[in-house]
Amino acid sequence: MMKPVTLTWLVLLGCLVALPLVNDNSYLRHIAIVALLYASLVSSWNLTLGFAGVFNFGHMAFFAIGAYTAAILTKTAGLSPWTGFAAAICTSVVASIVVCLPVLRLKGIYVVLVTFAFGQLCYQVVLNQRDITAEPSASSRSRRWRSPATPSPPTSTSATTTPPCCCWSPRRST
Amino acid sequence: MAAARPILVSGIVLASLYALMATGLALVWNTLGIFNFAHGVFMTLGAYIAWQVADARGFDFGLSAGIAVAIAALAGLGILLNRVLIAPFLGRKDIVLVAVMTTLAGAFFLENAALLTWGPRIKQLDRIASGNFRMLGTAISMHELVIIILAPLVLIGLWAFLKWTRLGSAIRAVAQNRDTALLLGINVNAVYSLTFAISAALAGGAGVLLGAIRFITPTMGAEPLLKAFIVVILGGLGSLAGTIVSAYLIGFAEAASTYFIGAYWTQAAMFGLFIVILVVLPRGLMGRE
Repeated sequence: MMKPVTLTWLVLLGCLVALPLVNDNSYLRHIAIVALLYASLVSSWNLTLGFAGVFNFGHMAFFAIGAYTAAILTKTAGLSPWTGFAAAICTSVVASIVVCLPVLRLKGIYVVLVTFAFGQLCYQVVLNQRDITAEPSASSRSRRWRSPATPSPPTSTSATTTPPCCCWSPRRST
Repeated sequence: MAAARPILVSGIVLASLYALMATGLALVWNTLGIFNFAHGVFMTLGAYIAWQVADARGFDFGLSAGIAVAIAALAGLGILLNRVLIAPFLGRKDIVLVAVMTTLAGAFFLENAALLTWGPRIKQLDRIASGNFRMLGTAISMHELVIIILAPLVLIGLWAFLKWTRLGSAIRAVAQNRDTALLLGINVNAVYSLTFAISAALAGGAGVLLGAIRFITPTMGAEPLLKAFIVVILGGLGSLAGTIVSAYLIGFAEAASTYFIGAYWTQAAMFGLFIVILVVLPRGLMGRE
């Protein structure tokens, strides 16, 4: 017999899987996807501050690096969105290692300063390299998994269910 | 070296502005023990308020009135920010990190308030002095000459104030030991407000000076704030003289890097320098324990 808490989570997860299959309202689906996207972002930030106690103020930079990697590879280089997805993970991990190495030697306010400075640096680089990153207000958009013209339940299912799962597993491993 | 003279001249202009910014940041850090992330927004607001008072599309009172109002308003805003964002949390053990969050929140708030008030259209202040000036064989505007001369004068004035006046001594006493200063009858909260007022006024003044060279936008303070961080870290936390020396070093380094590798990658080079300083010289040039 499963614990009630686990059962609750499984039921909630089931609801998320079922949501795109029963819901026809594209606005509601969009809100659900964006909400879960930010939920995954928040839980990933919680890994650094909440579990590791590292005051990381450059987290959005990793988010942006991933997004720009995917956008540039799919739109400018014309690669498949799946390649862009994998590459985005790789580049943001590499960026996080670059920031992490000095942070390992620092503590307190210095960690805040380095991570904050890194976030600002990424912002400046994006603004300055307009040939690659396009205008900041109308930045390049990565290609969708499927054509937006045809509603595609499988894609939406993956979008609603992946974030909670991918944040749950690293937490359990700590 | 043909490049040396333009680098030197452009470095001095940058460095003078960084010195004004970083000194205010360092003053607050030394006295209150917090890093003010809203310092860049002080600069932005200084420029906007001066524009509002001085420009023909604003109140049209002339540039000198604009500068005076901007500096006075920023001093008031500094006190207000201290009361609202810092004072309620003083005495907490994690004040450094709490203050990072409250001042960041304040910075976002003020930045967006500026965007709502003045709109996204870029603005520019009139120059304090018109005409050009030749220095070391390089032409600079009279306005930049004013910056080069004014910044050291203001900093010397600040140093003299801290050194010889009773209020300045009170600030230094609180910076050295808050509890002892309290026992000696110094009104610590008033000193904190005063420190914040001076710091914000310095940032506002720097904003007025920068607003005539670059464009005034709601985010114009972000980049100078980052440079001020680097300057304060290189100078060493707790040392005002170190801050001023390192402002000039960073100014020259940035001018040289802009000349040799271009403006696009200078930001990245400065960030690399920041990391190297933190790893190699964690206490800065003249920092104390």
